[in-house]
Amino acid sequence: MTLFAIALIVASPFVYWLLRRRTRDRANSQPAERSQSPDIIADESGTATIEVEHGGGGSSPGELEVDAAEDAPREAEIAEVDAVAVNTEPEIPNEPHKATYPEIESQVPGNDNRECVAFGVTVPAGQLLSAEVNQNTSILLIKPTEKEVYASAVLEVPDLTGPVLDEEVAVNVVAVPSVSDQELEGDRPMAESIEILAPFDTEESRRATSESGNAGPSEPAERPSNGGAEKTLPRYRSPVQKPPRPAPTRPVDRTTAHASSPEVTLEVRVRLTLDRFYFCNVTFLPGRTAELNDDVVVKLGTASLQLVAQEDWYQDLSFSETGRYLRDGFELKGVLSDQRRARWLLKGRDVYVLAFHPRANGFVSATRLLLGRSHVVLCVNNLVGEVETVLKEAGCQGYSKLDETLGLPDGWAGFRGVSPANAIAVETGVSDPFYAIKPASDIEIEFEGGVRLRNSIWLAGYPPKIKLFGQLGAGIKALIDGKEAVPAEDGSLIVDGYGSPGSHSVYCGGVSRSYSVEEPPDSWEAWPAYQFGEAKICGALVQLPPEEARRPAFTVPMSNPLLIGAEPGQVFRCSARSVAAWRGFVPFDVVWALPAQPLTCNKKTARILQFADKPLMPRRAGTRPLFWCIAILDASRKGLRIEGGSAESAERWSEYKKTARSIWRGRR
Amino acid sequence: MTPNELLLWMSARKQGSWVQFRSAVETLDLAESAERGEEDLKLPLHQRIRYNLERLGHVEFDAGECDDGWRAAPPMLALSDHGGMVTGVLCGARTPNLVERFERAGVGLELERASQAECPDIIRVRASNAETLIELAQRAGVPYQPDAPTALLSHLPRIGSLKGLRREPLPAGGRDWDVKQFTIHRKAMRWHTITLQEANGPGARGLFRFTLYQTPQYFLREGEETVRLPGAVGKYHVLSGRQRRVMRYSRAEHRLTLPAIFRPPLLTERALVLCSGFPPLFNVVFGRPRLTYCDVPEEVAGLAAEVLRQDLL
Repeated sequence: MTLFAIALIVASPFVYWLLRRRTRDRANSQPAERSQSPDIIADESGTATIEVEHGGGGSSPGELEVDAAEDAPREAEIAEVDAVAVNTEPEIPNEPHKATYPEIESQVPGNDNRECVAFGVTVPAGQLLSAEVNQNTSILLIKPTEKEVYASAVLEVPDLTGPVLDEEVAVNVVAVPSVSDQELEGDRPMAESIEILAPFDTEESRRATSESGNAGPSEPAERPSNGGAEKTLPRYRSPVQKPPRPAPTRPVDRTTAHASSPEVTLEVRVRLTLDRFYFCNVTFLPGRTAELNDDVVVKLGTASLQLVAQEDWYQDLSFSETGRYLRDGFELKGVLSDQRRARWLLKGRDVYVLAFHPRANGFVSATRLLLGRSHVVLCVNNLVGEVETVLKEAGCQGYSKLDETLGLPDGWAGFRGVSPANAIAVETGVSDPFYAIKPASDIEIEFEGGVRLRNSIWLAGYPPKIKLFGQLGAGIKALIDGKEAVPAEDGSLIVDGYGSPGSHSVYCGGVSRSYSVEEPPDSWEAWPAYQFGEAKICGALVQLPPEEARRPAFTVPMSNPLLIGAEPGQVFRCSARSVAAWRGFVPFDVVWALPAQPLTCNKKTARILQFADKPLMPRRAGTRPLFWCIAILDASRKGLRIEGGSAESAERWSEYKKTARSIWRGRR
Repeated sequence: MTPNELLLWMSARKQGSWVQFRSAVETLDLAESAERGEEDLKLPLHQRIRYNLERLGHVEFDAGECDDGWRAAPPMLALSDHGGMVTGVLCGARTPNLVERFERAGVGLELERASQAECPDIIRVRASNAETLIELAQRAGVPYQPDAPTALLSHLPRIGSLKGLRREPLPAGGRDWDVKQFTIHRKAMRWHTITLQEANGPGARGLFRFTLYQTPQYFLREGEETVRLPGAVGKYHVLSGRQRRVMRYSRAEHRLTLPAIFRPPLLTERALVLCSGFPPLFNVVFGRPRLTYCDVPEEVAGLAAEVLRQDLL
């Protein structure tokens, strides 16, 4: 027995080598187009294998095998590949609290740590930039059918026959663009093509995750009994610094990547506004892209919320437990109108950097401090000392402290007016907890203020303020439209004509940005925003038919609301109002104003008012002059006097009276 | 961006969606606008701004030809006769050039540009007669609306008629509805919470507010009829039915005051606001929030009261 054991030990390396060689040979014999993607397979026991095959071409096949059994805990499902580490020793951080933003992007609700599911990938070949790979590598899990036998040795595929798993498989089987063999060519370390660099909250990674970064395995988190609110969400981990990598060479069809995404995952940003007494209000801004619904009902744990859209965000959310959500993060889940699932995630952190954002008021969470820019830094109370030390190292001066008395959530402190002057190098290869408050020396051009009409177009007269951040070396000049920019009083950059209509470009230290300035229109059309009868209302404008439009408003004392015109039949009774004078529009030129009831009014006080000395007009056919006649004859019978009456007035009144009597008699 | 710049932005864009407006409001720098009344602050900022833009006749929201969105109204000098003095308020779209032109044309006249919280600057000019202001408008290339408050109020339908309102049953199901009924008891007028079942009960009558996700819908049940209508119209309808008077006019001060809960319907309020060019003042008297419209001529107050089927106190 002992002899057999010894023989087994001696023979096992050889058998293992033999098996591996056969497997490799077989793999090399597969058609190139069927093996263009890196395989990252993690099994339940913690063994992770990364295998990259290079199809076609004569280049030497690259292959990497990693046994991470000792490093990976049992819950491992996600394999994160670090660019540097893969070359020598790939890092497989499977602990939830160490997950990076891209990993969270890849989380699929519904899986728990007991359900290790095979992740099939539909691969439209050659559609992913290496930049995109960089952001999505942690979610690439591919199991080609050719590898099933081999894969089964390392991957424990659960029973998929159960009713629940059908759905879960559907959730997990997502399309991830493949990495072409060209991108994985073996003359450079494979890891460079699948490294993870960008933190989730950079612009680039946000776009990527919202468009295509929804695929991937489930996070090994416990399934909560009451939804996402109580689930222990993975916390934010600072990105690990990597050496520079070559620029991408292949265009990306993001549309395809997006269209195939069964789930949309977006970030939640933190927003802080200060009132004029520097009292803080911390809210959360769920991200939004143009294709998302205007209104989405989401669940936060068991509670329902409605997200109401703005262009780049949904309406900010305010919670009573802001401090806890900042520290631990939270997740919102909803279903879009096209039945795609959507989720918004804030990963908990101990330190937040917030800065100006062109699309939101106040300060919005940013990746990192930027040299020369003013920020707000939030941190948990027990890190205040360490944060201050780093801020001082970064040359921040004159900042003010914020605390709970100024509206910050419980357990949090803050610093306002943090403007770093010195870059701080971040150690490569490790995740620095203070990465966010260690500014880099990178140059950034930002456009602030002005009136932005859309995208990068500003209104004439209100151009953006051009701000330059970062460490400018000696001899580096900023150019606007090719001319050397000079700093204005507020620190922005200007040159002659930088705000004139047309296109403009800004260049500095290899970084460039452009903007345009556009003249506003000078004419607006009125339209019937509201219509009542023939009156069309638009703003302050009331459009009427021409014959009515020219008639001015008429004012008459409420004592004389019966209005008489020059044409028999022109009679108008003003509505009763509890005011001294009636004002409104009368459909004819008023000549006389009589008391409401001429026959029963008080003769001593009531008067006839004359408004115009207008001779009688011939009666038009079809008019009914009865009430016109009655009003005049009643006033006449009562013997009412004309107010301020002159001989001409009396004569005119007599003329009207005669005509009224004549009509009245004729009618009889 | 300031509210002035917001109006420039909207004028330059001419029209847009509600989402775009919400997004633009997000960038507003309103650190100085902390002087709003408590009642007004119950509304979110974007709604406060939106109502101010609407009241002042700058922009129409969710109206004809701009459903679910907004559209800038053409620039207009809204004239208002104050008996011996005429006021002109610059409404509608603005551009820097237009404002400059207007101010240049108004040199020598009593032209005023006043900042106001959460709305664009009020630009108004006064003269002893309308002709002077009409000439000014023509010089500046701005159309004018004579007697704007009267013109508006004279063409609005009176409260009381349910004609033209949409017949629509009350929502009968759904868990998340917040249902309230408008009640008047002695001097107390308030929204009283009831259940969905109570609102749909056979004997339930009156004005109901159904709110889902902060979006209210108002229904009036009278007899066998249920109509959906704007909340303000519904309130004045109920007041009219109960013959309750809430509008108080001061002839000495030319001020119209009413309880804040009875803010008039949009176009009626626009007419009152155009009298002075300023949104109503908000104040609390004996614990009761009130709105006060300034420089309202008595005739206009009377006309507004008539539209709302009220008698002035």
